[in-house]
Amino acid sequence: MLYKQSIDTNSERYFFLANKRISKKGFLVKAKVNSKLFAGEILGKLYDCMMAEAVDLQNEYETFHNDEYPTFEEFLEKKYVLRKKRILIIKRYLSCNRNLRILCRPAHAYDYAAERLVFYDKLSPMFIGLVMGRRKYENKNRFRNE
Amino acid sequence: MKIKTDFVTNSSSTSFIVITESAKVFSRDSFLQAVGVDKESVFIELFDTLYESLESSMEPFRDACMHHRWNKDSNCEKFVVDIFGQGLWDKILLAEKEGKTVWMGSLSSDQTEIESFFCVLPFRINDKAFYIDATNDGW
Repeated sequence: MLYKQSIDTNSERYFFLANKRISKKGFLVKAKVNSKLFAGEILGKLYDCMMAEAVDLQNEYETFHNDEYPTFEEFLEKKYVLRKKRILIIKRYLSCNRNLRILCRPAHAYDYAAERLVFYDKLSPMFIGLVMGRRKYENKNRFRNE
Repeated sequence: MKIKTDFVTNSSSTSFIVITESAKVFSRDSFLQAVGVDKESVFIELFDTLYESLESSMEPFRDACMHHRWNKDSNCEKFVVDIFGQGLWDKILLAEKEGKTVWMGSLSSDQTEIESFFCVLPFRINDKAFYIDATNDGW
């Protein structure tokens, strides 16, 4: 699951789910690349690109905003301007798997070419699928504009 | 005077050198094995595309170098030393002396997202069967 949201004309951010039990090392294992060789180095860099400046929203809510917003859903709706429909989908994912977390990452936070590959290219569902811990990957609707 | 009001884009290409044991040794299988990707990997396309981008642009080094648009003096030594460094020039001379094959090619930022990514990424791949120096890559 990957949503891209335009904040204003010049800035965007991504929302995606990641499984907290999948580390960078685990990602490389699931990607079936040798972490000591070139493929491992490249995919490690792309993993870092995904996670660069990504904020765990549940953690942010519980640490800083639970006085301000009575529920996590309200926090997502009011602070991150996510639509209710999206919030329901996110909530459904989170309730199905307690290891999943919803991350928010600003666009243009890292290497531009790497970001294009991870969030725009047809390989994007593979990246999202692997960090979510999925066995199958979405091939269509790779991201929805928020 | 013309004023462009839409997006202004910039594209580029970067050069690389490949040294192979013989003219036929740079195969897809040897490349995928050298980079360390399993053929069952969901990211196989990433490395397949890189291989195809490299392989399809490789030309015999001396010809490619002499006619390269950046090599204004038609001097291969100066050209290689300027963009890759003395170390690679020494490696090329040694490879030619040992009967290895030296190739040159370029990656473009105008092609796929994958080629564009590798076009701006400096890298070296050192394998028993081949050596790739793409350290010229990067803006």
